[in-house]
Amino acid sequence: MALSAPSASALGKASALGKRALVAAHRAWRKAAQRGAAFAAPVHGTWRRSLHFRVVTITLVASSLLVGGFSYLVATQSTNILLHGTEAEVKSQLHDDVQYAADQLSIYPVRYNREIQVTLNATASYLSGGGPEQGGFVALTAVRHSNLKTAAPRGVDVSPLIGDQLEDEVAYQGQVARQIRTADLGGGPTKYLVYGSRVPTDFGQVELYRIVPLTTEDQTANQIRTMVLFTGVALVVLLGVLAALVTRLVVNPVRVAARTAQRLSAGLLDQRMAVNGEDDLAQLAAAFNQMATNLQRQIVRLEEMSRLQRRFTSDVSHELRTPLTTVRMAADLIFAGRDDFDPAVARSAELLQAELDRFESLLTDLLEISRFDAGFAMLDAEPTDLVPVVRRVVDRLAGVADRAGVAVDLRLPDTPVIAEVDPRRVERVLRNLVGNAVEHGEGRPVVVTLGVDDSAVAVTVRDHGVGLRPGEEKLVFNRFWRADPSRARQTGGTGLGLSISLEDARLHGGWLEAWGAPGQGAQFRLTVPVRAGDRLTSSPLRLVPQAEVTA
Amino acid sequence: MRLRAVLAVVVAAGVGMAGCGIPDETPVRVDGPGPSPGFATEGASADPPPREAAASKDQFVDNYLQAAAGEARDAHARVSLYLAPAVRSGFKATQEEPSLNLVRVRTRTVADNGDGTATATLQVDQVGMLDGDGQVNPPTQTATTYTIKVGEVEGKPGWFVTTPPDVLLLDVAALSIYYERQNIYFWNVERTGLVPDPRYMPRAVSPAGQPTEILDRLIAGPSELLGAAVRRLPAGTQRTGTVPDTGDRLEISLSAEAGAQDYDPVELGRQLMWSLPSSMRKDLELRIEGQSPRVITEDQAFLDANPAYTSAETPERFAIYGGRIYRLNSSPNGGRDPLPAIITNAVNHDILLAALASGSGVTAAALVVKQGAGQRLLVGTTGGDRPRGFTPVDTVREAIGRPVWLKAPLDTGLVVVGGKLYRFGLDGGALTQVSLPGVGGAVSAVSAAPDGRRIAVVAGGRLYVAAIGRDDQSVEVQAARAVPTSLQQFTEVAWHDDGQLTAAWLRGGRSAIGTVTIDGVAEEVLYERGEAQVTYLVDYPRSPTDNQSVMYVAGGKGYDSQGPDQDGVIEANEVVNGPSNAAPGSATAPFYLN
Repeated sequence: MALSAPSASALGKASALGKRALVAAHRAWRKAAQRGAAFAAPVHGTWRRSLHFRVVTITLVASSLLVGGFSYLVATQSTNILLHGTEAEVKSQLHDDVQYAADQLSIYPVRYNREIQVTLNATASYLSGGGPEQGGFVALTAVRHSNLKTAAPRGVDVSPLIGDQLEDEVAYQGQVARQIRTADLGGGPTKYLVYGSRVPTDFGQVELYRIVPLTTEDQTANQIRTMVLFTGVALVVLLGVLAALVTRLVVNPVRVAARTAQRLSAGLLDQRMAVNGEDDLAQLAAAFNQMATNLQRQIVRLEEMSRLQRRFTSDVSHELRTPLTTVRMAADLIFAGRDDFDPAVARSAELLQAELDRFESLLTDLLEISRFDAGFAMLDAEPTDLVPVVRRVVDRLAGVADRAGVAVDLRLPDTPVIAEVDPRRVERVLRNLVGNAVEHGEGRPVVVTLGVDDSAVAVTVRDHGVGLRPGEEKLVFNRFWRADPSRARQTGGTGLGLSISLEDARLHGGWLEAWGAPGQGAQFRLTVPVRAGDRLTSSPLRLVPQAEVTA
Repeated sequence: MRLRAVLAVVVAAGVGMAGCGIPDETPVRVDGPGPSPGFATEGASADPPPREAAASKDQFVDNYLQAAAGEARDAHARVSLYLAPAVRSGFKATQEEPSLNLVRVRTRTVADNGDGTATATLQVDQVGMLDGDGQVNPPTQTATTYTIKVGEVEGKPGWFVTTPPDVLLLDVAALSIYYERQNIYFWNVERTGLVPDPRYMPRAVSPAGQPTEILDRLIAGPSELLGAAVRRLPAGTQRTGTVPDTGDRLEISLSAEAGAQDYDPVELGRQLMWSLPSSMRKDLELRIEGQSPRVITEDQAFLDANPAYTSAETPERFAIYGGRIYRLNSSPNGGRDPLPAIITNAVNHDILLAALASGSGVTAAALVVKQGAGQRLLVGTTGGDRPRGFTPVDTVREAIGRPVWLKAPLDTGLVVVGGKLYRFGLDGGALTQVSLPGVGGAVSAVSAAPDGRRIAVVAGGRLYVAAIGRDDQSVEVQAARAVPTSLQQFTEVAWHDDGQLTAAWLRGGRSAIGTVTIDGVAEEVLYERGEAQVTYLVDYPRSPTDNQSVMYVAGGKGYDSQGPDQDGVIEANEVVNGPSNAAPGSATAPFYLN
């Protein structure tokens, strides 16, 4: 393209201008979008939370699209129909006009005649009838006749209405053509339909334009548009309100049900839903209420049973203690004098003494358990150095370990490990864990490790006995649970030790966990917070031994 | 991102709704080809020769005297082209359609001045003023001599008029070349018939354009002569368009004023249709604003509207022989029909002159009979609501001239008695003198046009035409005008057609019969009768055909121009049932049933 320099620069300027406008538009768009995003963040939250909001929004958007599309179709179609009607009317009128003008001008032969201008004016005036304001008017031009001037009623200047392109089509291409143009002929800017055709005459060619104001059509189109717009908006709003109402009808009971369920789960067992009518939601409410009632009844019954059971255990323990004391005293007497008895009797006295010890510790454990169950267990926490505690436990069990041929390996930090714990309970837990390890150690060494970090203290007890089968790591904490029920009880364990230990750990806000694998032994870990009442998030020691993991 | 999409959709919807009204401007849409341009039909050029056409100075002067001929509005421009550029500016048109001075050139001399210029001296008679509506009015100029200087202009071929007369001159001889005689018609004030008003139509006006021009002339009104005798179109009438030929009809559009209460649109339509030349006459569609269109056809009522048309193709001829009326065998059917019922044997004697006319359902006869030493006029009618026998009119006079009947309606006659013009009615009674304002000398002959509103009289040897107003009791001459002809010493006159008279005159003691247009523009000699003075002349006015039919008495012998005799003398065998011993030419006072 060979553009001359000035036009190229002008083009460049124009394109630069266009680019700048584009950039500005994009910036404005982004700004609007950002503002929208700022507004959208809470909206997004609401969107996720509220079914109500979601349904209404979807309804609004969907109906807006639908109604908008439909409205556009209706408005466009009606405007087109209006316009087509007018165009057809004007076209047929144009045909008559051209016929009339051709007739009127047919009296002039080839030669130019001054009368022609008079006839042009008269014809334009006659065909215009009411004039530019009413029903349009006719202008006659003779662009190929320098002698003839444009004839229009009352000297209206029609040049702004007859564009170059239209003139070209009509005057030079000989077409019947039309165009809508806006012009101000004295009564403010008005849209006009300009329909043109040439008029055959003997002296040359004259063009006839019928110019019809589209005021009525424009008003009607605007009215239709306004009406459609209002109807559409009203419809969308109505749909939105309807959706809101309907959703509310459904969502409200669901919300009530949710709230009621929350209260129920919080322990307010007498909460019920209001049942209105007999519809689906009423059925839901009724069913919900039924469920709540059943649950409440069941829970109350279970609670009652549980209370009775605990009471029974407690009572039985207490009731047994008194006679046991008596029996104990008698047995102590007998045991003291066993040397004087027949060896068989003496042996019985020893057995009696041993079993009484067991019985007593069982009762003690039962009482402890029932105390936990009754919620009477109190944590007597004080800052305690756990290193001596661990040592003491191991020392106390040294005899048992020696008898079992189990070496207890202590791995303790060099520094004191201070934590706010109830030393009596921690000692009981550890004694229980180490005792179990020694008992199930199968003569292999037991490792006791103490670990600490900023928030927690942990003790692990590792044995290398038979270990635990999968799933048993939870079961071990159940009351009176045995890995092999057929196995004779060799040691004096009551079957309640780990249960009590678990309760003790919980009382500290700590964890007591077990790990085990068949043939590889087991490891128990006690973790308690450094400060009483803190929440545990992690433990300083691993539950699963490192060697097992790597293996 | 989803939000952006929603925003975009909303914006698009808004823009879409805003865009679905009627747009401010659309591209040009083409429906298809328009009507194809018509084929140009250039008629034969009817323009006077241009300035450069002259081969000699004499011809140049002749051409100059024709230059104004053609469409009136361009006459001034055409004449201007003959003028030297230096004098053109002083020669301004004073009106849009200037009147042309019609002159009859008696002599033209072109004298070379020796310096390349020439002086033309024209001796002329002023004939009249031809105005834009094609009517010839009495002359306003009195000059009898015009001097025109002819010269050359450097750098331009041909000659120029360097000293023009300050008026537009047109030689009457050019009228017949560049103009066509036409009649336009107006209703008489009693609305009983149409009165023709002769006009000249430039041949330069195309046939397609003539109806429009004719309509304009009708709207402009009748000529001065007819002014009081005829009705004008309703005041304010204008045409709202041209008069196009739509194939089988001419469409005439008039403003609402044309629909005035007292002017029947149908009558208006018939008037328009009669005003069109017969060659372009066809059905009319008359559109008056505020009224439904009417179609006017050439029906009987249309034909009846023009009294001139009622004349039969072949006129019934009669002659008086031995005081009795006989038919001539040149009448239809060989003249074997009996005489009209009104001419009974009881009255058919001692007759000197007779006039028969029929119209309006009445046949009227006026007979001049010998009564004692004098003559008496008898009138009688048959038909109509009051048929009566013959009644004498007035008293016995010494001599009574040829009576004529006025038609439309047929209730009045005119007769010249003792150099004065008198009226008589159907009921007899007295003769009433009709005064002729502006007419000098003794009246010697009278003739009436078929329309009954125009008469021609010969008075003091001059020829006059007059328009009359009348009722069944009186006749009043409203305007009279001398026919500006070069002829003198008229002795007899008869209406020949709508705009022409047949007249007899004497020139150098020799008599002649010829035609003269009522505006004096054209004159033609038909018969030279030598010493034999023409004392009696009747014509059969017919329109539109121009078939010369005239009967007269010259030197005491009766003549019939259509008779079998070469000379025109009425032979004895032409008199049906006449006496066998009749001498040729002894049949006197031949007349037509008008």
